[in-house]
Amino acid sequence: MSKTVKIIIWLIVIVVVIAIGVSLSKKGGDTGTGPIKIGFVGPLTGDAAGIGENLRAAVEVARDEINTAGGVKGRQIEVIFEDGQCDPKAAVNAGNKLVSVDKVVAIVGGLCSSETLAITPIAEQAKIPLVSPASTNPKITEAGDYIFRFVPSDLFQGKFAAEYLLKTMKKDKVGILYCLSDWCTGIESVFKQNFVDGGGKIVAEEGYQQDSRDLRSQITKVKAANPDIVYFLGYSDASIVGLKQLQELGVKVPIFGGDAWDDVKIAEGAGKAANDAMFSVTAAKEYAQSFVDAMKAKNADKELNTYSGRGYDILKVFADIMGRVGVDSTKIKVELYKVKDYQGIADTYTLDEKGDLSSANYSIKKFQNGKIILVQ
Amino acid sequence: MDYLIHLLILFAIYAILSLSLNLVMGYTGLLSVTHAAFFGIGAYATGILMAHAGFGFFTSLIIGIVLSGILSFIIGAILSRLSGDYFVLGTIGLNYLVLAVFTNWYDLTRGPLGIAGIPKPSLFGVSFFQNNYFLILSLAFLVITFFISRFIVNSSFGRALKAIREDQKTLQVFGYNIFSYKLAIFTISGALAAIGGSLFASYITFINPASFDVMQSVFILAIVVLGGLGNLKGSLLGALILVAFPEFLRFIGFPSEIAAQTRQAIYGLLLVVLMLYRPQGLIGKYKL
Amino acid sequence: MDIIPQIIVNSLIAGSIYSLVTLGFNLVYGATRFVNMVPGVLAAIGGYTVYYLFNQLGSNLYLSIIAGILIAGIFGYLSDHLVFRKLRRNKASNLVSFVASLGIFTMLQAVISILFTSQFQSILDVTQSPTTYEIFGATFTWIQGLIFITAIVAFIGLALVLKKTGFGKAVRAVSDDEEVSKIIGINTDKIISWIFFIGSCLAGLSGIFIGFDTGIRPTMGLVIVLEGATASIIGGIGNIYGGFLGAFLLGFVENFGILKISGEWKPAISFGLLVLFLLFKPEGIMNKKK
Repeated sequence: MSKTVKIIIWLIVIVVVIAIGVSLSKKGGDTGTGPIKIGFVGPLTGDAAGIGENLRAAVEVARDEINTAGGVKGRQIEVIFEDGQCDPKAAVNAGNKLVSVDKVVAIVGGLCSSETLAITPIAEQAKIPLVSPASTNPKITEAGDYIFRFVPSDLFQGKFAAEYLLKTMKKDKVGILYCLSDWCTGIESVFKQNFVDGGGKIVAEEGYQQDSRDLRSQITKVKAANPDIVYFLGYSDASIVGLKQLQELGVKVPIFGGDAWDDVKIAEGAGKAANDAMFSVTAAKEYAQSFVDAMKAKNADKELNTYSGRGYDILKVFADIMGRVGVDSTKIKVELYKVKDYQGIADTYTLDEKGDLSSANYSIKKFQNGKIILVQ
Repeated sequence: MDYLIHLLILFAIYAILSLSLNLVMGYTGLLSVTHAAFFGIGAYATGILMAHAGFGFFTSLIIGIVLSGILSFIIGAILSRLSGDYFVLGTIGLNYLVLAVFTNWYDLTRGPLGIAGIPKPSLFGVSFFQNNYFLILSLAFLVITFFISRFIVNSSFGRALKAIREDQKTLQVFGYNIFSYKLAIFTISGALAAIGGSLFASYITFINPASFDVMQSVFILAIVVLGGLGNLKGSLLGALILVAFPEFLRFIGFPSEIAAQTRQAIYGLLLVVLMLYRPQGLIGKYKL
Repeated sequence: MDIIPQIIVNSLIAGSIYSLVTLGFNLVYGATRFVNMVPGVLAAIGGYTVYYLFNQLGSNLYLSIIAGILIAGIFGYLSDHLVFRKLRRNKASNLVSFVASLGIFTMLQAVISILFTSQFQSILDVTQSPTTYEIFGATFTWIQGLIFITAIVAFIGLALVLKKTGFGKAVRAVSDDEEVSKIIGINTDKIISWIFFIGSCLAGLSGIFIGFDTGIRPTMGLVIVLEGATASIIGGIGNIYGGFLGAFLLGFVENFGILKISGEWKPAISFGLLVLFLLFKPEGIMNKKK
């Protein structure tokens, strides 16, 4: 075959492919009948899967309640659950699928800040409203017009933790151990700033890969710097290993963590090594018994944490808004900005003009004998 | 049908990668397990320039190609003294080093956090956001890469490469500078791989170091070996088979994670079987 | 600086684990002369066997460990019997064997992921705190101490076997020259099978120890085998004394290296070292230049 013929054949192939592509890609989206599709992205496997699975159960509880009560304007809610694995790459795949293939009208998620930061550009470009129940990285505030969250930014938590350590625990030399992922790095830099501004000293600052399971080199360095408290930021799997290794290496000073520690699997997994380790977490109301019972029916009551209720609340808010303005994504977004003093089961929500919660309350919890208990 | 388009885009990207690797492996006989590094440079160049510096796609692409070419030149020069087993180990070691740079040069690459929100290309105001348009772009690049590869292979430069593959010592006797030929093709191969990287970054919108590790290099290697060393069309075939199949598994309902592992198991098995019974691959012209 | 003793201890532990892999790797390389990736996944197989038997089925710990070692050994043996022996017959090049080993590695690793998920698992009972000891201000657990002792015992044991027994002599003969060994009547295939088995058992053991020390996950094998290869090359490939030395050297360099640079760069240190040695001293420290 001569070269010209070959080129012509290639061009024909390309044209054919274009034709197929154009003709077969429907605009899709919500057609007005059938179930309303809402997407969910959260870690169902991997790090923070304990919290993720609990969140999924809570969202299912909300969905079931909405559907039993007749759905939204007669249509049932269908939640499509995708596994973000607390990993931005998996989250992107999940987000792309939900937006391009399932054509959902709204998204609940992500849980980990890294998931959320990875999918917000996708949701924003597709103009799909996204509300995260748990992602606290400060950057999410600016992530977009369609991006909201029902949990306060870590600008608050980092400050709270720094003040608690300095004023309540009276420790001013901190050794920081933090994971190299969006949530950890976000809160770490806020904490650092506030701790130093408050007169404290950072004697060690060691990062580790989120999927690392051997933190001994970093711990050795932190220990050598003689801190009077260790600020240890990590998700569940690394925290279990890290707490054990802190004990193994003879670190005797108190250990303090962040809100990702609200996962009872850490207390169970680290056993004695976790005892007395404390952490800050967004305060939640005491859950209504009906919610607890519904979660118990799904075998999910043991791992109840501050985020599950928020997932429930988000779905309920979606349903409420859609009942009023329908499923147009832009209209939903406009209504989301109007959320004010909404009484959810986890919190009372008021969103500011950036889609963030305007105020924040934190509790202190600690691990004791395989359980999590409230300290203040 | 969106899945079909998605598959074809991935196919195009991996085909570009395997074509470029085939140039080195199939035509020079060098076993390189570091191709993911060049893939990564193209991807990171695009990611950083587009998402953090606001550059356009095509500018980033060119910069990526140049950077990757430079890196492959350096790596090629370092490794050129090695042969056989040691060359292979050296490539793996260098892949790891490049990966370490991606992971630790936090200020530039955001390390393990990766770079999110990489936009799609736009040319003369037409945005390639729609997947079908992106597919056309990808296929266009594939076609370009294919023709460049073919041109190289059929040229006198290419003939010299094949001769090196067959009998290096004789060629040295004839005065050919083996070293510079190998280096040249290694550089070209790396530069072409960057094209795949740029497309990848823009399509997936998010990149992090994990995509460019040794297992990714092994995957590209498997495609080349499957399709056949020394046959460009073989690389296309290999890419089609190894890319389409696991995506198909996911489509029919396998959970993502199992689909990915199954693909890995299959291409692992494939490598073994091929080495035992058909080391030249499906339509290859050369055995390792 | 009181951090030094701890770093030394960390280095010794890392070196011990590497040395188990390296011993196996060197043994096999000596006989077969190609870079074999399979020991990496064998380490994972060893670890996961113990995990499955001990953690999931609740069997006795010591039996699980023995099972883990043996199963790793069997898989290694099978890899030779089914694949590498055939490749040897076909007079396949080293590269072909390498790619085949890569294939086996990838395949088995993926199967482990499917069976056990990619999650990280720890093997030991987590509610007990391990007994720790202190030496010059550095702490280590009894498991780590055990790893160190086992590495030394394994090394001495292997060295003795190679030097003193008939089997050992045959192994050395085959490593030196397979063709000549055949001529003088050594059943090279059988010896190589044994070499694979023993080397694989050692690899499995290293995986089990890593499991006890930190934990296991399906992808653990790649770094293990690459570190093993690096240690072998540094120390002198094919030479078990060199391998042992190289393993500890690697452990020290890595752990002291991260004193100055962030811990993240640890693998980069090893692979940088690998490349340097490949370029400038490929015969390693203990081998003479051929």
